[in-house]
Amino acid sequence: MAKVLIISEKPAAAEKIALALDEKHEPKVIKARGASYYECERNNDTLFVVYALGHLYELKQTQKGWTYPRFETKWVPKYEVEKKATNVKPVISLIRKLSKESDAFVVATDYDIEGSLIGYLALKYACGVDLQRARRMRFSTLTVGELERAYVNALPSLDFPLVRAGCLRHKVDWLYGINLTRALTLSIKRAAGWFKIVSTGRVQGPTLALVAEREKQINSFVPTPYWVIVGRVRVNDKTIDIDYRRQRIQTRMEAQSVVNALQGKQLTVTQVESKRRKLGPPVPFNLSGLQSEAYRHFGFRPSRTLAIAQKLYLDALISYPRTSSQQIPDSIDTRSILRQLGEQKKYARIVEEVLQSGRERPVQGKKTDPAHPAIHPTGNAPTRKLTPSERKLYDLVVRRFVALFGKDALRESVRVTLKHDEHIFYIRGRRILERGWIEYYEPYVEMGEREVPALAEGDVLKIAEVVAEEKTTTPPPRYNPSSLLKELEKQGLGTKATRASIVDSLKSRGYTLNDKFELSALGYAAFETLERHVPEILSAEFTRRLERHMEEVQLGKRTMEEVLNEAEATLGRILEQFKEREEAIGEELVAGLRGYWREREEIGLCPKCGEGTLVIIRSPKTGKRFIGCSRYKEGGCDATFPLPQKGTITPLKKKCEYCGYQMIRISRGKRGWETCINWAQCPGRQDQLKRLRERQRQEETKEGDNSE
Amino acid sequence: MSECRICGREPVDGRYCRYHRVAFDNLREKYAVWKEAAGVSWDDYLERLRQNPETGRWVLELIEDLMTEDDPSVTA
Repeated sequence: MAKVLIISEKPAAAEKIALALDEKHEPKVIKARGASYYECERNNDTLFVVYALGHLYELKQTQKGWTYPRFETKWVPKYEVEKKATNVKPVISLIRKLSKESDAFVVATDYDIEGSLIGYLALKYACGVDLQRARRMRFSTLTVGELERAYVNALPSLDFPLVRAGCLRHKVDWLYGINLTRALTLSIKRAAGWFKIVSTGRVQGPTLALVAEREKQINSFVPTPYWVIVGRVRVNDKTIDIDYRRQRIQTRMEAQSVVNALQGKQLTVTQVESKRRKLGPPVPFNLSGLQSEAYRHFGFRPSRTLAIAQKLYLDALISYPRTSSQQIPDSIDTRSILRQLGEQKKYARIVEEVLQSGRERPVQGKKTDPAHPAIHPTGNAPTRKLTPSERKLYDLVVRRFVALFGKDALRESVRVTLKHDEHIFYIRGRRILERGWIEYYEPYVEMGEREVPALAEGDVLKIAEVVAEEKTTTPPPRYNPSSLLKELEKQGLGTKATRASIVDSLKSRGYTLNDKFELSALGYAAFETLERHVPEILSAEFTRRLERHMEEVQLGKRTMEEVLNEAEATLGRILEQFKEREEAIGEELVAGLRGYWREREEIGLCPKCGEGTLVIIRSPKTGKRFIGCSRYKEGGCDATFPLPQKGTITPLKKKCEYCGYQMIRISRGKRGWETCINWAQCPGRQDQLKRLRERQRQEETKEGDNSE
Repeated sequence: MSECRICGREPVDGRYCRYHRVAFDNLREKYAVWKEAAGVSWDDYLERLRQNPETGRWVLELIEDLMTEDDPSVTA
């Protein structure tokens, strides 16, 4: 009878593993001080299932001093570098205690770089056991069947290449993040005496460069004119839009001559063509595919999608989400998953249909991942009430999975050609003849059907209207969270697990002003300064090369030491250059910071005096904020406007439609609304104000009742 | 001049920084397109760009700067 210690990544995963591995599926929960574990019985063995809380150990510099360069590090318990991580201490103590009673060790963390490192560090530092003795469970879902199989067929040793890759990635990211952030921050301190953390990192620099390059294109954009011929014909009492063959005409004169030639004329149908095309189902979701689709349909930021998917995974509702794979291997019993999904009333009809008339095997995408299959439902039904966001994402994953088995859809495209002299127009339409997989993926697919009237060659139609509309070209669009994430993936920057947080970090660190990734003055200053003095920090090629070398360590083509030495040497050179120019860099960043604060505080020109600037001011007496004129102190203008006391204020570049005053946006948590600075007096907002006061009165009454 | 007339950055041509210089080059280059397409005068061109929401921020700043000159057409 052996005692086996099983280390999982999170409490929710530990519970699932314990439930699956206990013979009676009734593990005992044992509470220790500040932590807990599960005790299971299996084949006369006792299994202790413990959990980590993500990373229990972090890197800490060994030389003292908040300065740079600092290259020497060691692994220490997380609470030594993060004061708030007090919950880690009892977990480490528990693992250490149970390891002394155990004869065998199994790592059951997520099967990826981070998971492998978490398990390895717990074994090495908390248990202090011979690492060669430990086995590794490998699974992609937290279902009972898969966890049992993963335990029985556990790999005989830890996945050391993944561990080495994880270790290296942490060290490289620590070296670059800590040293570069300190360099930037200390340069500001030297220039202005302020201690303001300004950060950058190995991937954040190139990401900032991508956004800055796009911003430059937008800011220096000059629109140019072109004309579009818009025509309409009458067919059976209906007005139909017709498309001129040339989509853009470059001069007004030419556009007008087309209109003159067609005014009041007739068009003859010269051709009616129809084409049929089969449309195959979409491929299985990998993480970036899911993030992109969730952004498109629900507006979820990539980081939010990942967090929700992680919850669904821990509930054993979907498979492991951090995957690049777009393939579902034959080893997964997809028929059984479909049958289980069919037990949920919501999916019963589509599952029944797909089981009867769909494909035997799902369609597959091109991308692969050696560790995990594409994201798919496990077949389990939710055992708790899902939040609306979870419900949406779960539904998306389920419907995409069912659609993989659907037959091809059949689309018919029709093009009617109309002619007058040399002028050609088209009427275009399309419709779905056979719905196939669309039937199952319906809410998430837009086919844009457009009906075409029944017309035959030789039919003559009178032009009801023809005009030349002047338009101008538009600049490239700003990135959104989803398109920036895709660009990072295309450029080979970051990993599937880190890209979403890198995208978020640009805003949280003040480099962009809003969700449209408009660069702030600080973002410009950081970009320009780094570009001028240390361009390697912004270089995508440099980061990509490092990324490639780290992957080669995972594949055993390079050693960890080799890559780490190279990374340290490059960083050392960069930091040397930086130190030489520290003062100049600091001065440029200080100017950028001043601009950034101005951007956030300045509302616009004062409407009362027309000379001063409206700024957000905090009263020194009450601490309350309001908007006032910059000429207030000199006694030149007493214009003030009240502000809500909670939430972040962002000045908008537009005026109120009712009173013409400057508009602002107020954001509180996930909520945000727009109003004008004159909201208390604005004639268009009195109803809103009345409702707000009513709500405040109700809340006050409620609070009063509760306190009695 | 030691500072860009518009933003105070280091000038690259004695007048504008590298960003406003790019905007200036674009503005001049695209005038030929506008003239050919719509037959507009330089002043009309600047005014139409000012009214257009797609015009870039640096271009707008540049236009404001050009319009404060005694004879903005000189630069064209």
